[in-house]
Amino acid sequence: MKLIIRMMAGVSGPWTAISARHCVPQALSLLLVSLMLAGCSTSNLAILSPASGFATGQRDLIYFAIGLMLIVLIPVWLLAFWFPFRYREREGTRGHHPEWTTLPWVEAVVWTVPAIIVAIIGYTVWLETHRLDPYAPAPSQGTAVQIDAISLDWKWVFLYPDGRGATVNELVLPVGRPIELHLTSDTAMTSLFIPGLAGQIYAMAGMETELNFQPERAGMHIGRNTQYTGGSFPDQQFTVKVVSPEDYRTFLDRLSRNGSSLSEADYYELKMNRHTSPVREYSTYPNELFQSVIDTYCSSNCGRRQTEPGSHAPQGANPEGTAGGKA
Amino acid sequence: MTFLGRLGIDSLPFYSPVAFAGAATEVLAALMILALVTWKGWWKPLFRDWIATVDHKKIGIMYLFLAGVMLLRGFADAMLMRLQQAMALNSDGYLPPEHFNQIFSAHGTIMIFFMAMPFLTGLINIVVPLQIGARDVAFPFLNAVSFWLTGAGAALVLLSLVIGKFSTAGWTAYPPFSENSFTPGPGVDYWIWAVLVAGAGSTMTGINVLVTILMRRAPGMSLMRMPLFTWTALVTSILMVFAFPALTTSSAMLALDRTLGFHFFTNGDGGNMMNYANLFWIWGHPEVYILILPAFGIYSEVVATFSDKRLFGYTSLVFATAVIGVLSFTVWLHHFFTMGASANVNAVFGIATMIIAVPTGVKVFDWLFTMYRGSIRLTTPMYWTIGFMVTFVIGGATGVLLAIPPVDFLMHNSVFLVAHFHNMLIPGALFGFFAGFSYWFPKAFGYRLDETWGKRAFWAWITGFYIAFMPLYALGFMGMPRRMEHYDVAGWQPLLITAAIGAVFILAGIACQIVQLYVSWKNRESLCDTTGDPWDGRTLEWMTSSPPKPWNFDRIPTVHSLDEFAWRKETAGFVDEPGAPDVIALPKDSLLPMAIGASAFIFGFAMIWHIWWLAIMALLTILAMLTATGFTRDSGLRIIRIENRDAARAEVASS
Ligand SMILES: [Cu+2]
Repeated sequence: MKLIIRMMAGVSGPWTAISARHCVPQALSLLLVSLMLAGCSTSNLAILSPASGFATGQRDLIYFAIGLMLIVLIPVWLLAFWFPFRYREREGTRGHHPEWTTLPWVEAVVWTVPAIIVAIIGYTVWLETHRLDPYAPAPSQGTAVQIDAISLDWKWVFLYPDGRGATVNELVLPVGRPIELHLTSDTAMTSLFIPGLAGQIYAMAGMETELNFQPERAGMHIGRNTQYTGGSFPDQQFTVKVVSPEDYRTFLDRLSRNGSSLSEADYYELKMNRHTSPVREYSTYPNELFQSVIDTYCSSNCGRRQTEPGSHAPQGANPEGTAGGKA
Repeated sequence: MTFLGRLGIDSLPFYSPVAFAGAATEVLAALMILALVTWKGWWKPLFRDWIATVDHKKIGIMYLFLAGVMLLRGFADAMLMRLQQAMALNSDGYLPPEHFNQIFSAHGTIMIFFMAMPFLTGLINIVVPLQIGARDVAFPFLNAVSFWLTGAGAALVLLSLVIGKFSTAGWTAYPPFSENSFTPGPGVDYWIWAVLVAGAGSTMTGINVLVTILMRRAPGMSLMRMPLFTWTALVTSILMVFAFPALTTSSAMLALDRTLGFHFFTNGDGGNMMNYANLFWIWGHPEVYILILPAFGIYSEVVATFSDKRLFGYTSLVFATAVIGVLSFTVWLHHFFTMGASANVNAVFGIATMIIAVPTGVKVFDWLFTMYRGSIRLTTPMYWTIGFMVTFVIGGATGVLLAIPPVDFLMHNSVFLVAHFHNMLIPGALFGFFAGFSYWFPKAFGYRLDETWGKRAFWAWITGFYIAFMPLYALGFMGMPRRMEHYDVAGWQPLLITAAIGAVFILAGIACQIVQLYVSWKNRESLCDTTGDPWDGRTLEWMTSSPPKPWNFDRIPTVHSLDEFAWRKETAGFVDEPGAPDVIALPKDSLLPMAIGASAFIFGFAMIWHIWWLAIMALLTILAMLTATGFTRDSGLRIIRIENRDAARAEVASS
């Protein structure tokens, strides 16, 4: 068992290496993904061509699990075709076969092989769920960029650190620094997802959730709400620009020199105008906007300002957090 | 407050030409059926033989009829959606969002509650009492009530197309979106009351099947001599009894929020929608196994019968079924890994989910080894079974992927998830129901189904399934969310067009099944099952005539072995020792179950439209009828004496 654990601990490393050199894992996933995706090109498969450490880890897990499960799937496919063909009814076969109803060693294999595979995947799941926990800070030396995101009908408002501006439907991020996205919703429950960059987490009114990741390549992404909320739900998407640290500073400067500021009235108008929105930029925003949006729905001390350092749970909640304990 | 609540002339579907056409079709079809029944003079036999019946076999057939009708409606919704998504690149397609959103909400609701549930309940009703050598279910009257409540729920969903609108909140009706502040109007209320009424029926079905299997088995049939379909029905009924109250609770709380201004799940005011998600999926995940386990039972019966062998690993299969039943209650959180629970919680629920793959894998191998060295007849039910094994494992694998929390962060809410659960429910559950339908059809109707058209249906369905859902897996990798009325990613469209073509194949499959029914009915003379045992069956249901008499068995058989009927056929010199003539007491037919269902329909309708006086009257009527039932004496039973074992001459006397 120790051997397996040690093997598994290193598994995502070699696996990534293989996937870079050959097309084996892609070919495996193509089995699932159908023949329509020719060759090994994953260019338009956002999730299979990630641009952050988290998204890469998430994708490698997919390959790893598919590979292991094929140990069960391939025999099933072979036997499901071979047996009906080999043992189809022919002259004189009726009633002339051994009445074997169980065979201890076959039963043992049938229970243990899937169990071992599930144990291996399960162990990996335990490790990877902790490593890739959206709440866990991205492993990096850089200081985290903390951005607040508010979900409205049907657009996103992003608030940059230290009151240095706000954007609507546009998120600009520096490459190579950990991003700490804090989310809440000023409408129904939504889910923020940036395929290829960050997995998703729900944004809920009166609560705060968190998404950590680190972009590793400059580029453009599309982020969106994936949790259906009626109306213009399909349009609730935003562009994500991952830029160099210099360009990021330039962007912040431009933002702060931008004449317009996001007033409470502007925010209210954005909220009540139930449509999507073109990209908007503001130089400032009300100091406690994010917290006040949370407080609209939560009368009893919610959100990050009440949480203890290192804990995601509101006071009085179960710190282990069954669903939403971290809200 | 007005006399008709919020019902008004503007409740009619003039908002979308497609919705109007759908409503007109529905009304026209209903009128045509009424006209046909009147013209043919069928009203009397319809009431006497069907509507008033408490016979489990006839109730089962009515469930199958309901499932068939709702399959057509649910599939029409699916076609509309596939067409919309195939068209809606940078355009609005042909459906306004308001209508598209109703369609996917209705599609899920119909397929789960009013197609799959009636289908499996119908098969269980027809088969289980026969398989355990019983005369009927434990509570025949309750059985009829359950059916009519399910019918009332289905009728509410159908009515929502004509009067008012259906929910736009998806089949899960997640708050806060399903609360008044986001979705006022009767739509979500239609969903709530349809689910509440039908859910009450399902809970009672669960109780009924559970008690029937535990209390009404023929002498000698120990638990470990029960056929596997009965075993899966037993576990399913336990799941129904324990899971459905969670759904009833969450829907009732949502109804309180919407109707009386409570704040269980609202944004703010102390409400918390996360509680809804937990309650809903505490029902929702076991529901998956409520649907799939009976199908597993059907595959077990089919593969053993048509391999001419005993099931391989019967004990393993029973154990696996029970393990799946227990574990299904321990995994609900995998439906919302993305809600922000800690890594510990997510990991535990992810691993618990994967553990279910072990007993499921065991089952697949046991079915495969049942075929090993058998003598396999490739009949239509066998086609469905093999098609299931090949395709279902793909869904199992994608399920394991989704159970890995970090992967779920990528795939949640995507069409990959949509492909996954259709992969579980179409090849997993529906193919099984189709297999069971053709397998037990001769038992229920007295003639076999046409094999050629059955196999054509199979090939169309399975081809259609792959063409329709494999592209959705790919689209999931491309980051396409579910429930998109339109989109602006050009790369998605070819795959969505492919998926729409797959839906056309499935349409062909359904057409083949309709032709199959017609052709079989036309050739019912040549397809007639005179022996009661058309497949060389192994279990008790094949020991009686097809269709069975109302009392199922002239004499309740004594069970000596697993696969009793096969054992009797193989045991040379076996003589069934004749016992004393049986006295059979059959419950009396009654129109009360239908009346209760009709009142529940009116009650639901009144609650949806806020017509309070009508709701109170309907509720009082139901209470009065239930009370009246309580005063019915057992002397109202039909007593039948079997005088002669061979002639089975029945002397029917009412006392
Ligand atoms: Cu589940």
